[in-house]
Amino acid sequence: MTQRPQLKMLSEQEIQQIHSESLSLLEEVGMKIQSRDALELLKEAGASVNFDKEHAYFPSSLVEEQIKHAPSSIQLFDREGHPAVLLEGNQIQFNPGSAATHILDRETGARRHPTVKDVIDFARVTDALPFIDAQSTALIPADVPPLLADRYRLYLLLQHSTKPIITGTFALDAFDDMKQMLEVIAGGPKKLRDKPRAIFDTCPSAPLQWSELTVHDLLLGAAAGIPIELISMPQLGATGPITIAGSLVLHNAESLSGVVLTQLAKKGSPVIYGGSPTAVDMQYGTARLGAIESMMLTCAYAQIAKHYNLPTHGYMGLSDAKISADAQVGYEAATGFLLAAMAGINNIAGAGMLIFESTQSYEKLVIDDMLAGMMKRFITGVEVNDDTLALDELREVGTKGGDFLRLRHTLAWFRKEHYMPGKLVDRQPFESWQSQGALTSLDRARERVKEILTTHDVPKLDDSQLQDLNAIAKNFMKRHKNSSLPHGPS
Amino acid sequence: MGNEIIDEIREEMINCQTERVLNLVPKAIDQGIDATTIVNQGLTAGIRVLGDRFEKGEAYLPELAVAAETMKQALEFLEPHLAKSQDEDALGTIVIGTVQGDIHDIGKSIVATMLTVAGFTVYDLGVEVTPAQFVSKAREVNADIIAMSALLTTTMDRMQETIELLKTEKLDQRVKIMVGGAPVSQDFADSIGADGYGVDFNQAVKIAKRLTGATEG
Repeated sequence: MTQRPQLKMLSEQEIQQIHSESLSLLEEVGMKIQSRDALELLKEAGASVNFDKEHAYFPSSLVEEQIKHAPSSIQLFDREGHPAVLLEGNQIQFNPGSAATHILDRETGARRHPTVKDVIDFARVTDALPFIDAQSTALIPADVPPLLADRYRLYLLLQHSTKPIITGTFALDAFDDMKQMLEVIAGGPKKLRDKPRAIFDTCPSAPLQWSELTVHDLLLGAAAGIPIELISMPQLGATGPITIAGSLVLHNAESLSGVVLTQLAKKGSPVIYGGSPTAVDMQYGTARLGAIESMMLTCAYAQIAKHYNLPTHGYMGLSDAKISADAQVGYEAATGFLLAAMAGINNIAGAGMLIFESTQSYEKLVIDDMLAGMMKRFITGVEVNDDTLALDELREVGTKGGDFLRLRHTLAWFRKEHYMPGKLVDRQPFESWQSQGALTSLDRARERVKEILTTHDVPKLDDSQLQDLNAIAKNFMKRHKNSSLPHGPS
Repeated sequence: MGNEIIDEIREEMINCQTERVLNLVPKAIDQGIDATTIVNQGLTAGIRVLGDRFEKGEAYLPELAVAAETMKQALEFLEPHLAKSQDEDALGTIVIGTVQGDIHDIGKSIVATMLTVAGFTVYDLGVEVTPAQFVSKAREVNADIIAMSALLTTTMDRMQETIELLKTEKLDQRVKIMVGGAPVSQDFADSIGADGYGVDFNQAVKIAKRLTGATEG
């Protein structure tokens, strides 16, 4: 077995300590939960519940017990029903950072609101990228009413990509519409349970609260067998303690409360331990994803999640820079992806994302795909065996002279052993770089985006499935008194 | 048609199957196929396909190097059969080597590979090649170009010695000189009276084509 490069932030003893402190917090302080259904489930399971104050206190024994029921592995399937994304062990998979309110225009670089056309184009670019494993509902289109944007993105993505989707809702009546669309693709509720096509993100509100909307989705999703991703998001120094250890206790308490709720909704339902912690910048008050402390907290909670045998998620590889490709984007993205890869975070979300999780970038997306490829190579480690040690070749060339380039060993191994980053990375001698227009990273990334949008074909959705999707869309549009949406059903 | 075996040689060249090519070539000769046809329509045609793929970023240096090595071994076998009939499709004949006192091989080998792929007949004399060896091989094979490589600044002077020897032997009108290697520059090339300098293998091929009139410019 090849040794995998592995990052450990915490000792076993520290994990135990954070674990027991988070249990105490859940038991003594509890969580505010804006959901009668959830409170009833908890009461039935032995928690102490105050319905008036919408508050529940979780007995440690209940938490310890429920963690054991959650599966350690989650397989997602593509639109056609083939296995696509596997979240388990130290496997790493990538998807774009989700729900950006802005996008950097791919012609001008200007920051603006995304449109439905952007949602489609972004989905097609993501679909084409070899190392981005899943879609996310990455953009919030501004030319769709805000309360319909959640489900409408899914409606578009299902037509313009075959990859699994990480998504979420903005309104209480969205989940059911979205579940119905996924059932159309899977071929019914049972098939969707057997072969999930999408993950729903649910975010507790730090500190120690669950809003009505998120618990609603969490309970319905878990009951339907749709994987639920728990995104606790303490801001160090604002909604969480300034110290990483303190925010870890909070993060872990919130996450474990989410695990308990999914398992009470349906024992054995798939749940991912994730998060999006940020470090509050004490000069500007911004919540930084690119801060090293955010990344440290993410790697640390992932280690705790692995201690519970749960699949993991993290917002890593994001940058807070304001343009698609500069030094800050490069160092923040590369640091995040590398740490996430070494920490073995299964679902690494963040590709394309800039400016405190607000702004997507086509160019960063394709650059991040290249980085994801690097990371997937990196974690396979150094393979050491008789063939890779090149013993015969070392003796042959050492004795006869010459070089290794013309050896069959080189031919046999160079593609397997070396990741080829493609044209995004400048690897030319100076003179050829100069004579070909002295292109920058941004120029090359723009070129790649353009190339994909001109050449990439996404297989068309089956006609009858499209009809069913259109019927669902017409239904929710009618309910919201909307008669037409861009690229919508006629 | 009888050309199935030629097609097979071309395909196996493209697939970098050295052993299969080396088995097929004698069979083709046994079938009475002309050695020049084997070289032009089999070996060279195959290696050019790889060259095109390399240009497009679909094939890489190891493939070209193995194919060039296969070519070299196949030509060694075919040499008696080729008799005096020169390979007429070749763009030209190049004698290449790393200069005396210098054992750095790899850059020169890559250039030799790329020149082979481009369609030149290339004689690679290896490393530590003396001016006399360059000139006598060039005379023997009626070369169009002598290409010299150096990695060490201390060995660069050997390039000029070769040029002078070429003049003494009155071959300087017929044989062009190309130089390359990390310490070599256009200024240096001009100062010693070389006809061409390339910063990398792509330029080396371009310059070789220019010097032999294979392309304009």
